[in-house]
Amino acid sequence: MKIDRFSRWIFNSYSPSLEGLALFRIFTALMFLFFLMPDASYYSDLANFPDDFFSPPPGPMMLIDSFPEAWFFYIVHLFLIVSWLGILFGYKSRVSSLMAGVFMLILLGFIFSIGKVNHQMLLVLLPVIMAFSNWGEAYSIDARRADPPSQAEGWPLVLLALFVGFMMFTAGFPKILGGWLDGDTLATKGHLLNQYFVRGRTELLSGFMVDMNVPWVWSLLDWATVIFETGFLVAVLRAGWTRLFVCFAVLFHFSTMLTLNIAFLVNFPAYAAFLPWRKIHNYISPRLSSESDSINVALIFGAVLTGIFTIIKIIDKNDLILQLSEPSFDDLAIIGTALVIVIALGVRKAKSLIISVRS
Amino acid sequence: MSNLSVKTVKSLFIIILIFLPLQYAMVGIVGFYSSEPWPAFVFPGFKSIYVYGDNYQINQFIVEVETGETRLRREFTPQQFFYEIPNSQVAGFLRSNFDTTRGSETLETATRQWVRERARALVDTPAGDIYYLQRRRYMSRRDNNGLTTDSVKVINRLLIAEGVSHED
Repeated sequence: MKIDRFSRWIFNSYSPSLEGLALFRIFTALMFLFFLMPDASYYSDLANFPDDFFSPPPGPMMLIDSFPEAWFFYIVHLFLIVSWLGILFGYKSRVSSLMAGVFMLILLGFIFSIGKVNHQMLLVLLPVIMAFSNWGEAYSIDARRADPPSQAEGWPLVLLALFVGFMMFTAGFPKILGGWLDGDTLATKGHLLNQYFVRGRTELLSGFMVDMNVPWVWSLLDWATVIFETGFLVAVLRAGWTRLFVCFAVLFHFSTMLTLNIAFLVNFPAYAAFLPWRKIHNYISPRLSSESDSINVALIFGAVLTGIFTIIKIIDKNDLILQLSEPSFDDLAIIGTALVIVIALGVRKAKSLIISVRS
Repeated sequence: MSNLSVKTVKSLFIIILIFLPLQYAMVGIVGFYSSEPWPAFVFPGFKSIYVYGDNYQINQFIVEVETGETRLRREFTPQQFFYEIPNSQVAGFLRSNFDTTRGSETLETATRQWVRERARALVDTPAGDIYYLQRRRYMSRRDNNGLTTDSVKVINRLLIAEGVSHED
């Protein structure tokens, strides 16, 4: 049977393994549980705000009149934690994943009803989309059932790439209309000054960049930003291009973190979905377990990540290394590590290209 | 776990490929007349431009609290006054709640009381009138040593809560 291009794109772009997806599931669940849960200490503040401050964005939140009591937030927060624990251990993985999306949506809905929407929909989308990848079918409680395991599905990764690509496009397109490509405007610099002087984001390299007066560099940054953000949508058409643009995204977020002090950590679990998890599993599996006891892979992988994340959290909470207002040590450590991974992958790719050219 | 059929997945993709541009158009229209809707599958556009050549304009927002009998004014940045609100949301919060059309007469009594209590906690004494200021700072680069502030203009000054003597 002849498979059309559309079907090939959906079903053949990615071919993940159940074990690779399981490692990604464990990584993502720990990322959420350690770093990406809404700040629970904010709930009592929200509940105590006067009703005037409840300014929901146009949409379903307008059906509500005021912030609910703090106990409501705590209960939904607890449900969110339980859902992510369900994902971590692979217990009713699909339901847990869908519920993690729903509970996050509810909490974000109220948090954004203070009059400002932050763009964190990937926190909702990621578990919902990955629910259909069967990421809970290996190294999980679900996997111990009598039923034969389902196949790993690649199409949710295409769907995730499509959402990320489209959302990136919505960031880039208004910039074209707004004049970012006009050589005189230096829009990136304008935003840097705004963040520095108005929002008080004065950490890391921001001061150095404020003083940097090289117009062609600023103009280049304007162009690079627009090309990267709009180009992501085209990159979605091929897995290789998507991975390349995800690498660009890591560079982009790392540079905005250093200069604008804006760390968009919320996107990183979605970017991590495009890591070669099958290869990662194939590499670590023989080193961590025997064939008879393969669950060790997940246990050791999860334990090592938990240890690393705990150390990062302790350093962050106790201001042991950097005393920054923004970004946090969490952001610096994780986004910095992501950059190191991207550089390592780039070097490896370059080496293999050189070898293939020579041969 | 049962997988979705090939036909269902293809249909889902077709629906999403149609839905995404439509919802983006909706975000644009609603955002133009009101504010950005939520939930929506968009990232921030940051389309505004602040720099033209060597001249810069920066809008600053300040909460000003009168204190004591001398009515000495103390200034607080929004991040200091509304310290529990995340930095990424403060500017939007101000736009939504303290824009030029809203002053003390449109804020509820409970809100004005909340603002007074916050001011009192910050200045450590019963506060007088409390204002919300929008200032525009004009800056330029005269040499390579950094930026110089040329002038500061108050664009708007809004009474958001009356002092203790006016308390309801």
